[in-house]
Amino acid sequence: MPDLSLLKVNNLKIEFATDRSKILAVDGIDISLKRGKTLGLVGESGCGKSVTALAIMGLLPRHASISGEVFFKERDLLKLKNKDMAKIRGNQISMIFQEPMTSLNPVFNIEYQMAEVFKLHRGKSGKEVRPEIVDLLRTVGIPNPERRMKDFPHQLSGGMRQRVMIAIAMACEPDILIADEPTTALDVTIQAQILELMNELQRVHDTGLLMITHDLGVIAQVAEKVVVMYAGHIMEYSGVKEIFSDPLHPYTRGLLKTIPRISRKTKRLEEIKGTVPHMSNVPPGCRFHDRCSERLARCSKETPPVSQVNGRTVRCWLY
Amino acid sequence: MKPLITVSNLKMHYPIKKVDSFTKYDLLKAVDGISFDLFEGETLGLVGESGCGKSTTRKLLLNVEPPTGGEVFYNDENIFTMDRSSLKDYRRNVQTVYQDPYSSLNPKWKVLKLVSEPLIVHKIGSRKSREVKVRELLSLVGLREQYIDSFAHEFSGGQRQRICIARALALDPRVIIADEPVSALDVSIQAQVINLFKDLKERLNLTYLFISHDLNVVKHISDRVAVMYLGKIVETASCDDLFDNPKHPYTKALIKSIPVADPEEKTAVAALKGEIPSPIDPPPGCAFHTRCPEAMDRCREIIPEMFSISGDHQVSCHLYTGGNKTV
Repeated sequence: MPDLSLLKVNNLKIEFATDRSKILAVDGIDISLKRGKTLGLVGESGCGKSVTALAIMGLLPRHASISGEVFFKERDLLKLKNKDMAKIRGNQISMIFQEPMTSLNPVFNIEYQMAEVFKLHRGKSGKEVRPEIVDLLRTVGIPNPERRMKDFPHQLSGGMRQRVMIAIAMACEPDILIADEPTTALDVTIQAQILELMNELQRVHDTGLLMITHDLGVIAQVAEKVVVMYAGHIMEYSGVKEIFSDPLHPYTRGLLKTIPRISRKTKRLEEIKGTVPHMSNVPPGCRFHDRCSERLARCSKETPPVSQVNGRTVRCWLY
Repeated sequence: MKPLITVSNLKMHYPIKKVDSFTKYDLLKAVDGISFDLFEGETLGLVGESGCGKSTTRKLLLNVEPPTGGEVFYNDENIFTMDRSSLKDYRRNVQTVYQDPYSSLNPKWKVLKLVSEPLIVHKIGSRKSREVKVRELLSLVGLREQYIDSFAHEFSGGQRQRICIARALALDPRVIIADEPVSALDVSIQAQVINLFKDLKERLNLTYLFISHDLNVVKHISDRVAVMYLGKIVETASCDDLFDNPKHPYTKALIKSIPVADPEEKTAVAALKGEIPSPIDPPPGCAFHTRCPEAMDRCREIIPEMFSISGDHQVSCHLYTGGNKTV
């Protein structure tokens, strides 16, 4: 099959077994990512964004049962042995996590943690890689890298730590970078710097970027295609311009209306009624129907299929 | 109009042990001489990045700890020197809502006890009348009365924040200090809680001090906005004025940094280089000069004072020293 996609996820399902019940956290999603492009994954907490990322990385705990396919360079990552996956992880696919405070090891200095990547994937040892580490830290904008690499994580600020995380993730020039809420813990002025940096690195290395966030502003600025998730389902999947100018799904429309914006002052914000359902107790039919303002009679009974509207994907009975 | 609360040159300098000494201390200047008025019936937004002193300001206004300098006046009395009974009255009238609704509710208590705790502390009403009051409060914040016997873990984040708001309203306060009340909530829930804040303000004639790092939210809810940087207020203005016509380079950069939810409008550029300096050893002169694109020589030496530009638009920056000096 001639497919230009770097990463292709087909019908991915992730289920967690708990003592009481089984929870289907992600229910059959299909996404694809091209080289040098950015795919945005938006949704509220508990919709399955992060679990999807962890499944691609092969980092889910053992009690999670995963089905479907994750194709990366014509290999199904889900069928790989742990040993083979370890060669890809951090080397060809890497990930940046939300919390720069907790994803670095507090008892090792920056140089050691960065050298680890080179040791694992390039087989190079401590002293050889020092110039490379200095270079990397300089490209992510850390001043005085020769001195800073001797620092421990607690000596760096949040923005600096996130820069180090990006440097580690980019160390092996991966084909795919998965960023799970990379700027949520940061201040706006720092967020702008980090987004600019990621954009720059992506351009230089032609990396495919999977950007997971709940912030529609960030998505609008960085992504080319957007996936809107709700309660484990993809609700809408299309180009970023279409999503913002002509959202098809009522949930997307609701999300866009609820965010307060600087450029537009309204008396009252539009609300989406109700709350995000807990995954152990998803409503039957369309998962959004109990909060939807445009629901039809069948929405509460039958789950809408994924349909194509002008080349865009949407899961709603309206189409 | 007379302000309800007047904050005058408030300072909070925490002593921090020096790393290389057993006896010497550095001063962490969390709040370094801020002054503002809170007028009855208005919503004052307080914005700034993390570590700029927003939350310390809240702590001082609630008189959780004494400041190292300055005064806060309520009814012409300084809250840090007033007697016990007036302080109790002050605390009745100034209530707070915290950021994290998960950690600010006791997991062992039911809603009835959670919401009526302030009434018990202030010895108001009987057990029966308190229960009636709690039911009223629950319906006021949009929760069903049946929830009175539920525990906090049974609620979602948005509902928990509603419980926190009900608790803050239990004593019929005049002022609510809300510290990042929506930043822990999902976007679709944020809108509900912001609308609730707006409705309650109209119905109960409340005054808000709304502390947030999210400029979108602040713009939406505030009448006036004060921008803080490194323990100081750098600009105050009416909400529309501040966003349409920002004066201070920091405010301009802050507004520019927000990613706009519109792919046609690529605006989020890194307007500022570098990071917030440490409040332990803030830069001399204007604290912002290390990151300011328009820094001049005198910014590095002289601390700018608050200048009034027009009406209630005040800014503390050497670019505008032509204005009329205030204070």
